Amino acid sequence: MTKNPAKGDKQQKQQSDNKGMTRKPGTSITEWVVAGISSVALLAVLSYLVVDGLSTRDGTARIVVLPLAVAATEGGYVVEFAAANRAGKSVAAVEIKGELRNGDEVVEESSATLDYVPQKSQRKGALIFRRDPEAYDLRLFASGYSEP
Amino acid sequence: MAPTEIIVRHAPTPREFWIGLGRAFAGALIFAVPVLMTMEAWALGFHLHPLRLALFLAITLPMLVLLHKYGGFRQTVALRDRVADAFVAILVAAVAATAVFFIFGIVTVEMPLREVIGKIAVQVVPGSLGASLARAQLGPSLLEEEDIPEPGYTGELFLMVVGALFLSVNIAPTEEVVLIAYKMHPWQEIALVVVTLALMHAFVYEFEFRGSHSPEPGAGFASIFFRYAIVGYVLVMLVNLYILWTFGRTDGAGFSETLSAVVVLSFPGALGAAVARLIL
Repeated sequence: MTKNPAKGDKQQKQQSDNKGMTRKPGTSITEWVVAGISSVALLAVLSYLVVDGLSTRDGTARIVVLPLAVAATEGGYVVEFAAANRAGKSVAAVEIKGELRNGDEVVEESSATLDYVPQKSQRKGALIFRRDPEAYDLRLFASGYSEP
Repeated sequence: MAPTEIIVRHAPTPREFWIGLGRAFAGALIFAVPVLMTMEAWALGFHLHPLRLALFLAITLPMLVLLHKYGGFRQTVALRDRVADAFVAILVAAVAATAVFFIFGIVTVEMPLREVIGKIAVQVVPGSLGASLARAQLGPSLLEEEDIPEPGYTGELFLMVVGALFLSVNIAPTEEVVLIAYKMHPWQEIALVVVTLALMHAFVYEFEFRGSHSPEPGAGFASIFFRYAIVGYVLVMLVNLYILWTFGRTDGAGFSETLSAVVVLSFPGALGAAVARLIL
């Protein structure tokens, strides 16, 4: 503690060496500019959260499952899908089901579970069928979820 | 050599080198052990995007080199020595993580190389930071105190970023971060931002500026708040956004959800940043 003033002097000297100019304690224009930009960024974040907080949130999740691609593998036909949650509510343990239909008859079923599908976000997964989905009517849907 | 570089007095003797290396191993283990024993961090090994992981490691090296300016596991000094020390820190962290993973049975010889490398690489960032901090933490400084350069404003911000990175990297792999983000309402997120900022300011202002580390004697409340707490917090959020992106937590997530996760992770991150000057 007793040597603080001396240390302060030394460090001021080093800082001025570092920057090649004398640095007044507490203020430099660059530092205030950085502080200003940061304040604006922080206010933007807070404003966004306030707007988000004021907007009404849906009580239910709206999950839309869309097939992305089908690949034939040794283990069967892999149907990749994207499950998008269009609502402002995050859900967990989302059960995704897929059916291959021939008219009204369900030929084959498959299911997968997504850990989380956050609000206004999408998660990808895949279902595996033994029969070629191209030859049937493929239906993908979410059959349930739990609150995180 | 820049004028602020310290002139090395003597190269370390073999004994000093081994002691330094031992401390580095201890530091790497202590600082990496929470991530070493986190299941999600093991899984990152195979689902992390290889290029993102490569970038993360590439950033670690210059960060360690800079960090060694303010303290390393031996009295480093010239840039060349600091680069060498950074590589040693990374190697020590990798060796420590590999050894622990083999003993735990998490890494086995049958595993594909890609997965082994991924698992260990995730551990290298906290481990190498720990190895670098080991001198500051576990051993007395071999340098005279006056010889360690006091960081200027950018140096202070850099140490904040390292502090944030260090704590966030320990917590970011866990599922709890996103789970808490899902559970929180925007009002709770605002409260978390305010509390984090207040804590950060209290730590920086009360413990550092009025304590032994004061870089700016006599600086006022507003000056510290705007130039350190707010700037520091925004930097912490950017660091955390980068970490979450690296770990693939932002993929497919909407803006609102990403922001929530960043705010949640910034709580530990800001604490790390605020006390960085005390522990680094």
